[in-house]
Amino acid sequence: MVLSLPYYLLFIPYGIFVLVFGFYSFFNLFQLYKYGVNNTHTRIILYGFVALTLMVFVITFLAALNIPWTNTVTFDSGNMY
Amino acid sequence: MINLNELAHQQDDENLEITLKQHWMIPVQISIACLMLFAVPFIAYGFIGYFFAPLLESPAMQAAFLVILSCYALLAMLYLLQTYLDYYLDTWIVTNKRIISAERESLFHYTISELRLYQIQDVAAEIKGFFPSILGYGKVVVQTAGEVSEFTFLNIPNAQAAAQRIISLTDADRKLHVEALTKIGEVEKENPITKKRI
Repeated sequence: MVLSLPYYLLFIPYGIFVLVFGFYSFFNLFQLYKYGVNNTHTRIILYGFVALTLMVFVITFLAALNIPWTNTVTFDSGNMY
Repeated sequence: MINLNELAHQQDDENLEITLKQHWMIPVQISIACLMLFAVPFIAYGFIGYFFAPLLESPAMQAAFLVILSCYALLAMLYLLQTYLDYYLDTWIVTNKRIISAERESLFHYTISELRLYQIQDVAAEIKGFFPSILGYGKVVVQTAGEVSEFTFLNIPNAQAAAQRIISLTDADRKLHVEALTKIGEVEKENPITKKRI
């Protein structure tokens, strides 16, 4: 049996992961905003984390431009006998 | 956000005496963990590039590596944020009237407890371990007669000095508290009607 899967299917687990990441990040940052001391240090953590996250997404996006996502990877179980 | 100049239920004669945070050694440990976490993908990339070079040339593997690497970077950042917030959001505020302990237990669990200084029965400092002994940070345990029987402050810089300061503030507050109670007692003796009403 031959199974051909396009590369872009990888975006499904990635999307789920990003959603979970967004959920946890949001509540962590909310906790920091609500209970952190009102000073520069708190703001640096808050904006620094958001900036780093955006940076990771931008780098991922730029690197993803070079990959042919519509190509397929073929799995051939072959004949065992 | 918490404003240290305007504490909740602050009395007119209440002054902020000490703000205790964990020792700087804790963020240093987090930074080392951070460096190690971010070094892993580079080491892995070098290892795969050296021993399994053809793997990196396949577009399918490149796509998989990209997704894995991106997930790893986000996960590492989230882990560091959580760890740093565990350190950063733990604050103990000591005023001349009370101790306010604000501690992050988990993502959806944040505890703020308060303790009147005159309720304190015992304060102890415990310095245990190699780095704590050299750098002088440790645990300060405050035992009370209140609802919360024990307050524990972890990784406090100059733990002994902090404990001494809390003891001296407690003594001063207890003296004022006893004086206030004596005054109330005297007023009640002078005006028995007031006492009856109570």
